[in-house]
Amino acid sequence: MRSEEEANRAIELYSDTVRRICLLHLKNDSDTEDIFQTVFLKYVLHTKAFENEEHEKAWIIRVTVNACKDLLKNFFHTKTVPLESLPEMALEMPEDNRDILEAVLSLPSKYKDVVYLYYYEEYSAVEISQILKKNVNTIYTLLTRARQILKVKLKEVTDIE
Amino acid sequence: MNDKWKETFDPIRAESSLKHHTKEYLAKKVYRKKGFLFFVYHRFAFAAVCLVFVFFAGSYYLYFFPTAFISIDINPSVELRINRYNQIISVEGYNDDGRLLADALEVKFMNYLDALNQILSDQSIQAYLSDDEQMSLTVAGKDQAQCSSILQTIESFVSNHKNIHCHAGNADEIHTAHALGMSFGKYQAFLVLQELEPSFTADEVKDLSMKEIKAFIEKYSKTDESSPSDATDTTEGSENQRQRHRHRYGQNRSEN
Repeated sequence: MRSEEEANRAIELYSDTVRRICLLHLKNDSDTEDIFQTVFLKYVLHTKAFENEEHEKAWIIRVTVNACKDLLKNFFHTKTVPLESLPEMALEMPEDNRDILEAVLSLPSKYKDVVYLYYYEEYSAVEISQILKKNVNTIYTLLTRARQILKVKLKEVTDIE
Repeated sequence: MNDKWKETFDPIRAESSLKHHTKEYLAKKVYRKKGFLFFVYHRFAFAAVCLVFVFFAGSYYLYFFPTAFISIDINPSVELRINRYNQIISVEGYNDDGRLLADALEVKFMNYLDALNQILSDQSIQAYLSDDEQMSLTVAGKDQAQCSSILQTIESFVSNHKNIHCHAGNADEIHTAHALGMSFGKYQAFLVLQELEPSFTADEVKDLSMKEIKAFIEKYSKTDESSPSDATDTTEGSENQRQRHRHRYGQNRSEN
């Protein structure tokens, strides 16, 4: 088990990344808090050493994505969770950025992580395939389809190619 | 376009309250819980050690606390201390011959009957018995039921020996007897003699053999031979026991 100091360091280092992935999938603060607790509890209990910070970050991303999927799959959760609007910080964004965020959030769930990891975190398709444990070709396919959807939603989407 | 993505997602940050709640959750769920478990574990370990100690102390007490005594007096005076499981836990000699015999005997943790058999088989005891000495086996202890059972058993065991006589002793007199430096079996004989002839002192009697004490009892009890016999009741009080012993010593005398 990792020490409390290690846990606090990881929270400071990766909580923004975890928060962004939560934003992609979850619609209220309570669920986000649940995911934070799940992810960092798993981190504390994960005794295997990481090769470096990149490896550690990739592990955190994979655990967060899986935790979000697990939460959304929960039958009780799907029937009871109320919808909330975008977080305050998103409302304060310039309109262009808010449009991008809303367009990404409106994507089907299977495209959100790929798009976020590719465009914001700047991982390659190969790296994304390793993080999400998916075939590289699947990642390419998901990226292509996500671009097509975003193209419709955003005029600027052509620039992302 | 990457700048647009950066501008879009950069402002999305984990709220400080979210980080704080997560740290609190981990502290409560993992770290303080560990401390609590550690505390509980130590308390449990301490309680377990105490229980083990109590168990062993209790077992030690049950095993090594004497509940019955057999005083064997002929010339050697020895006492067998018997636990509630009818096993010998110690042998004490109360005169020089008794101490020699106690040192030579290997009867510890043996059943009292096996121990008695070994004592009666001892060469020195055999020599005394063949020399027409009188052996007295006196049983006393706090556990009346156990003492009665032991007395009955040894009475049956020595029934073929005409010069071995069994008596029930008084547990309350054991400490007094030891304080006077004699076995409680010999002390009981001394009390009988002293009752007949008050001028006798413990110092005078403690080095006498049982045969010699009985000879004195016989000598001083000639006027007391009309007392009724009560050979079967061995669980009465001190005074009755004393009366019974006096009669028995008289009876034994007449038998011999």
